[in-house]
Amino acid sequence: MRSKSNNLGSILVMALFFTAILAMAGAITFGVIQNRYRQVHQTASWQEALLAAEAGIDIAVNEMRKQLFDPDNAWKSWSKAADPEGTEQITEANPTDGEVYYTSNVLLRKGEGGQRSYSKIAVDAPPFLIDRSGEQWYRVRSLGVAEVPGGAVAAGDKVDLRLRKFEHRVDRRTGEALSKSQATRLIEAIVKPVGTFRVALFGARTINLNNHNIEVDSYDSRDDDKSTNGFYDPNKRTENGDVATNGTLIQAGDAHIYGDAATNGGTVLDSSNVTGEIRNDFYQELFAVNRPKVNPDPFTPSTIKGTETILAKPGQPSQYLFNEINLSGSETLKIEGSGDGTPTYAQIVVTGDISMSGQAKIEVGEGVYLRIFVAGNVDITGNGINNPNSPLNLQLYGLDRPTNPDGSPQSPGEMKIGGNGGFRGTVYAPMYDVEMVGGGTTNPDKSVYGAFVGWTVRMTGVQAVHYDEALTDGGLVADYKVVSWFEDVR
Amino acid sequence: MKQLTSIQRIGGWTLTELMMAAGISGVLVTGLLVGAASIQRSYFASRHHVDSQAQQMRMMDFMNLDLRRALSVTTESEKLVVRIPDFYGNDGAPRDPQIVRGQAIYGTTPRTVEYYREGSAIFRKEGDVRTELATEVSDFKLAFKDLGQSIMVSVTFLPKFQFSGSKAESVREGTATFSTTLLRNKRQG
Repeated sequence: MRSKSNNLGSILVMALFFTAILAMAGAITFGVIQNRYRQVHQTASWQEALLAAEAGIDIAVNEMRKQLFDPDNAWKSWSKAADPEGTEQITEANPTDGEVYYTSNVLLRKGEGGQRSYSKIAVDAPPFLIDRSGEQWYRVRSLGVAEVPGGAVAAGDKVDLRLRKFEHRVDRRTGEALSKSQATRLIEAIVKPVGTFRVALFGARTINLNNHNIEVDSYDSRDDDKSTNGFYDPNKRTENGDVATNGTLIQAGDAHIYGDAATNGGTVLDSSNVTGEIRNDFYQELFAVNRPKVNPDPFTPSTIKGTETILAKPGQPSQYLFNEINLSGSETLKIEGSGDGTPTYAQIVVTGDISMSGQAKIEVGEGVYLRIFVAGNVDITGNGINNPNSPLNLQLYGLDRPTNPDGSPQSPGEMKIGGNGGFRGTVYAPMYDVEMVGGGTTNPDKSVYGAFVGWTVRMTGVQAVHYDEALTDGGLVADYKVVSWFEDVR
Repeated sequence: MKQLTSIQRIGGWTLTELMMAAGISGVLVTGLLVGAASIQRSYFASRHHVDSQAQQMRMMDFMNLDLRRALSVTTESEKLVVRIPDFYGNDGAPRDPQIVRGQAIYGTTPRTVEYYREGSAIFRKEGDVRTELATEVSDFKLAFKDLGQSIMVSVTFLPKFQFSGSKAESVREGTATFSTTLLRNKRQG
């Protein structure tokens, strides 16, 4: 009996021994699997935090766009306090008054990683982010936060944790205690205003270039490699003289287009001399040009029907309100600046037509920045507008007109740009048929420098259009664009 | 006599019985050893696969982080050179950007980050600081493709278990991880 008992005991011990070995092997395997499983979920949360941070940038840019298209609702639910609990709502302020904050709604989702994420956004508009044309840029700091599932345990190797930082008990940026583990990622983006002149020729409906000797090219007055002393140099020309339409037709007329030709799902006819891409994915939002509120300076004329001199001044622009500008013979309208070329500003609103004929001309003084808003038709022939400055110094805007339900103008205005002296300026008139009358491509004095936006854009005769790439930073603000993106990994 | 007979019946193993028992035990032990060895190999192969995937993921995440914030990128066969904004000042705090020629610029000179293989390890080098991202990666292969506004990165490795061992490339396809990253700062202009 004793001998039999000893044998049974050995079997039990052996069974326990092997069971223990199997259990240990299972436990090690389970530990490895669990660590990797947790790492996968934590990594997914870390990636979700980036999505949340980028969503925060989009939310901020959306508020900036509201300033243009829905100003009454811009920055409405934002706070001046970083703490979301201390919501001090601001209704008529923007980041230029100081940093503003917003915490997004919580996004719920299912799948790998955390199930809740949100973004905390701060926007400011510091003075060092004002560009040379006086436009304010914005700095956006967006913190994406994603909850991390699976308990307060960090998974992964040291190098993994140096890359993917998780906060289990304390927020590493604020020092605040946390009730749940989280992954956070911080992005700093710089957003700049985009002007109305993003392409050389833009016709909301069509573009018609009807001569193969027409040239459209570009230069950059900011860059010595792409211009000489800030002016166009044919030896340094660049190929960003793009033409585009929101419509479906560009008649390129075999013109030499040193840039892209883009439609909105349409066709570019006679495009053999287009050096860039032929695209059909283009669309640019147009905004209505409303008549600015102008309080004319005292003792200024109400109409221009003969030779006249008006003044531009530093700082806030001089304001002029004219019924019409009608020059003929050798009559001249002179906009006089400081005389030494330092920047001066003037703004003219014309409620009627602008017409020039004979040897009449408008002279823009050196250093003068002139904006003209016109409600009637425009016929600039004669000696045209003499602008010795950059194209950005002369901006001609066609005011908004009644539209049909599809957004087209009920009666487009007419804007004819010609003259013996070429043209150096910009035109934004999406409710106008813009016609440019040429005077030859070889004479640089008779060329056209600038950018043109119209309901339709048509070029008649032989001429050259040289687009200054610096115009992208000028003109009325039409949109906002992220120009710098950096993830702060501290 | 009865007791004696009983003892003989219990202890009476014939040579044939012993040899058969030894033979069966030998077969069982051999099977057990072979099985254990296979399980062990399978375990290490799986472990290698999982570790390799973790290293793949780590390298991808590191590279994508830098690519997203890159100002410019150059790619060679197994080397990636990324130039990123000089975002941090000497005190480690973020700098204020300045507007230069229509762009927001941090600092004066962009920082250079390189990804490359050296020996059996893959490194990330920013300035003079070198970080070992993955070790024992002699079977890893990095590839980069410049798509203009985006960069495609692929990382493959050779698994331990291979059904078509002579065709390494086809085996790699099964372990390939691809990532296409939009260069956010290419939108400048």
